[in-house]
Amino acid sequence: MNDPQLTRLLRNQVARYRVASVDLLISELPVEKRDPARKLLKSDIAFQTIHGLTGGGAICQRRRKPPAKTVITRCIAIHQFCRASTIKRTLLMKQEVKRYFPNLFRKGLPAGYYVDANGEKPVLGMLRVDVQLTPIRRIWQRSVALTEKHRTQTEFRKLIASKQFEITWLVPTDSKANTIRRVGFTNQHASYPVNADTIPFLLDQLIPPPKTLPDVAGL
Amino acid sequence: MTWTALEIALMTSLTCKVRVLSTQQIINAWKQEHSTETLAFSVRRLNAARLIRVENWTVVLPKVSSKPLFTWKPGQQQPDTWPLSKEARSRWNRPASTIEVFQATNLAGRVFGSRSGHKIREIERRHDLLLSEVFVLYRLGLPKLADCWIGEDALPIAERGVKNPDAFLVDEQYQPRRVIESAGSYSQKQMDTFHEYCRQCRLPYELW
Repeated sequence: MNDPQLTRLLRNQVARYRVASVDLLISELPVEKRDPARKLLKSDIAFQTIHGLTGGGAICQRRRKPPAKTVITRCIAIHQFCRASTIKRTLLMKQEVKRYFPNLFRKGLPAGYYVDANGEKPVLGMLRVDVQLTPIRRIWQRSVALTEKHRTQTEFRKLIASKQFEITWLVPTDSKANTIRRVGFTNQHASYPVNADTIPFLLDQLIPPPKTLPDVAGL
Repeated sequence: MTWTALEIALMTSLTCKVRVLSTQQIINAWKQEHSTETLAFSVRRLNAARLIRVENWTVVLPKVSSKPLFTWKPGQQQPDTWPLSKEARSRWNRPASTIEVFQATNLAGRVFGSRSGHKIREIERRHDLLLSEVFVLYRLGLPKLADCWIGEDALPIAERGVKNPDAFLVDEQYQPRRVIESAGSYSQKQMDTFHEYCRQCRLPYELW
C-alpha cells in the first residue's frame, strides 16, 4: 500500500462516517501503516481534527464550520458500532444503497443504513442513535412507525419477513439496551425487528462526569 | 474523566432495580468491593450530574430477616392471607428514624432505560425501602440473581387495574422466573390480589 492508496482509504472512511474516531481508523490498518496514517491525518489538508472528545480524537472532512456536537456524537457512535466490535458492519453511503439495493432505493431515503454480512444471510439495518436520551416508550413508538413505513415497500417487506432487516438503536448504557430488547419480547412488539446496542462513548458525551463537586450529598 | 463501573452499577440499581436506596443500604450493598470514601465520592458525582437526588425521610426502618415472609409456586395451595397480612402490618410498630435516601432523577431514567424520576409518596416509603433491603440481601447473598432483578420502573406499564409486581427475576430470554414483592403493610385484600395475579400468570413468588 503506497501513500496515495493510504490517503484514498482514509479519505473514503472519513467520508463514509462523516466524523470518525482516529484511534479506530488507525487500529484497522496494518501495523506498518499506522504511523504514516497518523502523520497523514495531521498533515493532509482534507482532514480536520476535532478536539475535546473523551476517548481519543476525531477527524472529519475539512469544512468551513465544524460539525455540531450532536453530529459528532452521532457519527462516532455509528463508527464505533460498525467497526469497533468483533462483528464488522459497513455503513452504506447513499450511492451504495442505489447501486446494491436498486429495488430499495427511493428519493428521500434517510441515511444510516448498514449491512451486517457476518451471519448466514446478510442483514440490512437502520441505525438510530439515542443522542436525545429518548424515553423507552418513545423509542418503541418511533421503531413501530419506522417498521410500518418500511413495510409499505414490497422489497423491505420481504426482508422483514426473512429476518434480513432490523432497526438498531445505539444507546449509552447496557440497562437501556436491555430494556429496549425486553420490550421487544412482549407479545405486542414481537413482530418488530428492533434491536439495541450499547456504545459507552455516548454516556460520557451526553452526560459528562462533573469536574467540580458540591459539598451537599454524602454518605 | 469517565463514569466508573461503580457509578454505573449504582445508577442501574436505582433506575432499573429499586426506586430508592438509603445511605446504609448503599454502604451495605457495596462494602465488599468499595470503601465508604469511594462510595461517598461516587454519590457526590452522580448528584452533581443530576442523576440522583437526595432527600431526608422520617420513616420506620424496615427489618428484614434472611428469608421471605411467604413463598409460593404454581401447584401449591392458596395461602391464608389474613395471618400473613397481620404479620406484615405488625412489623411497623416501632419508632421512626430520620435517614438520608437517594433516588434516580427523570434524566437518569432516560439514560438508563426506566421510568424513574417520579416522587415517592409518603405512604410508599416503607414499602419501597423494604424492597431495597431485599435487593441488598440478594446482592450480598445471591449476586447472580441480583443481576437478573428487574424493578417495576424498568417494565412496561401494566394495563389499568392490573397489579404490577415490584420486581421480577428474569432469565436470558427476559422471561420472568420469579416475582419479588414487598408486602409493606399490605391488607388481606392486597395480598389476595397479588396472589391471584401470580396464580394466573403461573409465576412463583416471594413475599417479603
